[in-house]
Amino acid sequence: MSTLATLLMQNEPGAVVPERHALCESEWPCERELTDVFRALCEKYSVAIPQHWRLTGGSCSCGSDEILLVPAGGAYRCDVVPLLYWRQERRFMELQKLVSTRTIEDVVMCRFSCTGSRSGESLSQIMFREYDLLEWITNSAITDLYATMYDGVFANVVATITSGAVCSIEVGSTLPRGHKSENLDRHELIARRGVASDRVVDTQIPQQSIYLYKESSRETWTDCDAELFGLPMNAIYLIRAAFELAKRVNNDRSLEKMEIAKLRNRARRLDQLVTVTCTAARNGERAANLDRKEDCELFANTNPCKGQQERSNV
Amino acid sequence: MKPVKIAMMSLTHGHTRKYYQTLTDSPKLDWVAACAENDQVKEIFDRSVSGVPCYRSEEEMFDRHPEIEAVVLASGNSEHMRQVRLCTERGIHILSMKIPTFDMAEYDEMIRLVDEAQTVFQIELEMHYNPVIHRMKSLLQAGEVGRLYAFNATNITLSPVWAFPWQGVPELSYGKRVSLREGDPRFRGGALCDHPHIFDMIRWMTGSDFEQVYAKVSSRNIRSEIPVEDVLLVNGRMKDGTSFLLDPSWSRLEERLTVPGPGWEVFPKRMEVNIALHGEKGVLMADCFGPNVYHNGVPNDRYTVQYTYFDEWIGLIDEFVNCIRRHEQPKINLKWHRRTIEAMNACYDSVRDGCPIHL
Repeated sequence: MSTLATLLMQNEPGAVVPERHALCESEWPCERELTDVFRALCEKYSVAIPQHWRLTGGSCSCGSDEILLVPAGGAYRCDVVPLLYWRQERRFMELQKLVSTRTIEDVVMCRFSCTGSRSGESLSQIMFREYDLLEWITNSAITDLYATMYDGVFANVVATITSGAVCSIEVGSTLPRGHKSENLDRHELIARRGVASDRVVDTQIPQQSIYLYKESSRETWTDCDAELFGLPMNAIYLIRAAFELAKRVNNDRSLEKMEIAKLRNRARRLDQLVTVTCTAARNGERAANLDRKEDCELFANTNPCKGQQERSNV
Repeated sequence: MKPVKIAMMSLTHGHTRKYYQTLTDSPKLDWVAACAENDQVKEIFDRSVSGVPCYRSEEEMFDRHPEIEAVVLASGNSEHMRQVRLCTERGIHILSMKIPTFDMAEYDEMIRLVDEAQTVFQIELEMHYNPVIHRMKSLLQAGEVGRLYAFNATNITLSPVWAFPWQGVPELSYGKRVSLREGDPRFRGGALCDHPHIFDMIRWMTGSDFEQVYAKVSSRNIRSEIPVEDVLLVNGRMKDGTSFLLDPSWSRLEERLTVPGPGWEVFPKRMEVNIALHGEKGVLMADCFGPNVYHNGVPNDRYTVQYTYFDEWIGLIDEFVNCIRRHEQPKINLKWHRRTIEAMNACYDSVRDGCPIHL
């Protein structure tokens, strides 16, 4: 068991700070680290541990009796279970909650954008995530879209969702290679009553919690999970997503099958939207009738409000 | 340089108050008269400005002040054609608000009249005199972002219709009553008509013109009471391949003041022009107005973005006066602006047809 997983079992959140550098340095921690922490989290909260589940962020191969949980949006060669891990990010949970609890009422416009680095996620990965966030946060399916793209690195999309709101999705991987900061993104919902956004009014880039200015460099951090402190944020979201899935499945094979089917259907829907976008951009035409019921399941695959509540209760 | 003797007409445009200050402060102008569209507007003018006679008849103003060399057409869009005829007949130079007209036949008549009168016609697109825009353009020209992939911009504001009612009346704003699309109870003439700046700026920055536009209006307005669109998005491509996404919406809610003033904002920030340039070498992002200050004081105790000084009108007036004295045409003239208006009309056509429009 990894050091982080051991400390987690000892109920010492935050005590793992010095161990940060002991973790794998690649974008995603190694499979063993992820799986160990996931299992430790299950054990801590007495959630039945699915022993045949493996959690990985990178390339993979799996045996026939294993289930491989991976970040959704990537291209994988074997039959995996795609986790919509970004839904564990608190700001997205809160935006979703602001809509579902009608804190803001009657959304008429959504403005989503995300720009990443050329050496980071691909354009289609970013688009996949932003489409999922749009449909999930608004609980509304994309019905039609028009897109313009440039060289496979930038896309502008105007879409309509079933609620009738008009939405912009600006996605790109145009930040220079080696750009180390987080993606520059913004998610804004404009409603007849209220505006919700994950960005501060009158700012252009994301705020960070911590800024360290030194003689020749500047470092920033935005930690928001004390329990899994020390892991990269995306790894934390991936582990949380697997944990939520384990809670729903509760070691029941039929539930497992159903939940996995939902996730795969959802990924298929999002893959289709990405493909349609590329085709529409190539042809210079609007794509319509994108909200067939069978393709639009799983806006509410996980109940983030409930998950958040449970987390804060323990 | 001899100051230009100038007058203002109508006084009903949203930028009217800005001109009260500009015409008073500029050493290059001698403000000799004004003409109000109605008694209420005249009353507001008389409370705001002293020492400048204000008339209710344009003809009377011109007859009493034959020294007038130039006017600011601070009027609703539907008045512009008539006022251009009136001014060109008298050889008077014109500083027009941002939409001369959406009727392209009228537009071409304006071009002809101005050419024949050999007067200066400048269009008030003040972003050209904004220092952030200057910096962006110089960085772009220096190749800092390399070949341009995308130009994305917002020009989002509160809606001015409660203070300037003509902006919510299709016939006065767009020039006629044209349904947005079949079965839609709304008409052309809303937020799009109020926000030509980013349509103009992309042409200015890229040196290219619109090839294809696709516009989409939300199925319902934020403000259910107004008969024109208040929320829309525009996507498309320039002839040089640059992708663009423009947001010219009235997506910031306002208190329904009849005279703009403190407490106008419901959303803390009442106006935003942000531009992002994505290129082969990097990304350039700019907020054209700032730095700002923030308060939650009088009158509503509500968190508010308080803008700092806007100096765009200095450069705008400098150019207008220089063009008059040197017999030159300003960079933002009728002929330059025509393609911007064409593109905006194409946006409305796209909304009507539900498909992209090739220009």
